[in-house]
Amino acid sequence: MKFRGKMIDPNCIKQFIGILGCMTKLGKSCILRITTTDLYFIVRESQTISASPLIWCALDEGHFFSEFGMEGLSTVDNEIYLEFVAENVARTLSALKVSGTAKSVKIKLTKKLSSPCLTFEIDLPSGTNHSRLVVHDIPVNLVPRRLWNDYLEPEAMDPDISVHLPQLRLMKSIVERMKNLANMATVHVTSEGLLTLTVETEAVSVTSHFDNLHVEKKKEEEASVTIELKRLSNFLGHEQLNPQKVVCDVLQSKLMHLNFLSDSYTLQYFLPGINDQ
Amino acid sequence: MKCLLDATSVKVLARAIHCLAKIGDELHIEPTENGLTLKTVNASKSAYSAFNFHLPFFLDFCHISENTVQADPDEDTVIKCKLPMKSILSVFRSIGSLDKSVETCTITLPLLEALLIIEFKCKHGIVKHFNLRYFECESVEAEFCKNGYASKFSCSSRFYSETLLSFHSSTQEVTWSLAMDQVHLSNHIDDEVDPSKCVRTEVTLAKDEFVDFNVALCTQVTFCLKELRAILAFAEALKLDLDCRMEGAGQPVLFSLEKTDLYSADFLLATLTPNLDSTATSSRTINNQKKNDVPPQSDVSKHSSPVPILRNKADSRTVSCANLQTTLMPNVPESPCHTSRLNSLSLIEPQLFPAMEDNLDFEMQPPPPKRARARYIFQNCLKATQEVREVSCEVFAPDSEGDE
Repeated sequence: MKFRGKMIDPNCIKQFIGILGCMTKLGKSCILRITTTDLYFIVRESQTISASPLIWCALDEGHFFSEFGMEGLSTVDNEIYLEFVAENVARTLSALKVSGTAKSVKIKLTKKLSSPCLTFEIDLPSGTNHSRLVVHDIPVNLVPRRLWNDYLEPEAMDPDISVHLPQLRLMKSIVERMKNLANMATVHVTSEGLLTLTVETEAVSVTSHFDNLHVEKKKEEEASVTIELKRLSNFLGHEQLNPQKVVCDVLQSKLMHLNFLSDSYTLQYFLPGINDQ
Repeated sequence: MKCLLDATSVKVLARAIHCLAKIGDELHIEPTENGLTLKTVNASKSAYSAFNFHLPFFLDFCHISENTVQADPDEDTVIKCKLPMKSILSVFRSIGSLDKSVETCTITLPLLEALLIIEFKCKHGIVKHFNLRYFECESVEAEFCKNGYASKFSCSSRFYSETLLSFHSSTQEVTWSLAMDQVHLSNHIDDEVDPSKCVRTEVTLAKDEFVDFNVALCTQVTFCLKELRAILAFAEALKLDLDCRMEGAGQPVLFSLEKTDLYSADFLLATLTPNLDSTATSSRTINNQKKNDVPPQSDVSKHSSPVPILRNKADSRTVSCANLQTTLMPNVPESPCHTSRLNSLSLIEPQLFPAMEDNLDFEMQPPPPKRARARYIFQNCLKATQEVREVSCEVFAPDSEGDE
């Protein structure tokens, strides 16, 4: 198995680090799936109620990498699945973030000290015209072929209603406040483009309304789902990824599905509904 | 000792104390004719640091404590002392507020009062007065000579801290590999940790990036980052260049910085002993065991080869002078203690109670004064005369178990 990719565009590097940072904050361990066209990050938490992955993120290799090469497990299964500890990557990236502008970032699959590693070779500018090479070897586990099925792409689902979310920053600040009141909130969407977020406690009931949202798809007149506020707020913290649009699909009482859409990547977040009755 | 500092100097002094506080637990204060020296050694004796503040740093400086009792200005009136870092740190706690309020600062060590007196004259006529208790003692000395190192390089402190940023803050030790045209840094991975589970980070610094680069010996040294970070905190705040001198694995590295005429500082850090060949280490451990078997109460001077070199007050001065003159190379013996991997520095340390050495455990030095005080106070309790004396007294309630 071989893999190497090189990023030279500062925007791409920034975006890539942002996405990777987002992944590492949301889960303890993260799966990286490498195919000939795309790079996938999959975070799957065991406590997920539904069987689908919690986060599924696909990156277009052509956009991010100026040079790219990979050789999968075999010609039939020309893919690589590897697992890494999110914290290890987060450490590496924190250093990269502070130092700011890297000239280039090379990512390679290497074998050092008898364990497979994902090697980040970062070329940092130093002084006026020098450069400094920083190499991080992050140990990874290769996922055996028989377990690949655990990380299959989630099936396209048929939402009851699908709307575009309002500005994430706005939503985030509201969700942050609601989080202090209760653990759960009910999301309710209607076919007229109204999204309400309701928190109910013994003492108070708070509802925020977002109206005139663009409705992308409607099967039912309305749909609602109860979700865990902490998870929603964790995810909304990543508004700095600056997606072009965020689509929210709701499947009555079952699932809230957030989809970050951009030219170069898609990021899906599955929030299972809670049956509180 | 009596000295007067202006506001900018106070700030530098405060930063120096903050830096030393991150390294050791006790601050040694040593006034000399040429200025004031502040020193510390960390608990494991792997890091020694000394700040020398030269005369131009002070508005006024006198190293001799004013003597009103004795007529002759004896050498003994120069008070050398140490005090817990916590107490002095409380005086210089906030550098920011010191900077804003203090106009002048007077530090005195008067002979009569046995106190370290620090007085801040602040704005609006506020005077802050601190009296600190100290232990009178000879200061520690490390034997080193700046010219004795094979490799030397220097660059701005900013450069070092940028380099260290690549390492995660939990990284404790970094290995520096010197080559003719570059320095290679990598995080040191403990033997106890599974190497396939931890991240390895490597940074390569080219020769051109340094202000001054002179490596004569390609080598690999490993030492703690904690002290270096403390040094950098000081140097970066004052935008100073930092010189680094290295010899070889197992031998200490020396960091030094200087502000022309005003002050200079030296930091001697012990490095890890490499375990390259097992035979050498095993033979050494046997040696160590033998050495350790020597009864500890035997003459202290016999222990000249294992670390730490301890000399009592009487001979410390003469020996240290001789060493400074004769040894050009940093004189650090092989690690004597196989349990600690990090070498200790060869230090000449003061002993508080030289007379008590006959039955003191070699490892326990100097005895904590608290214990000594306790021994004094409770000595009556431990005396044989405290044996329960038969005191004839009337028995009101006889022992019920006693009668068969």
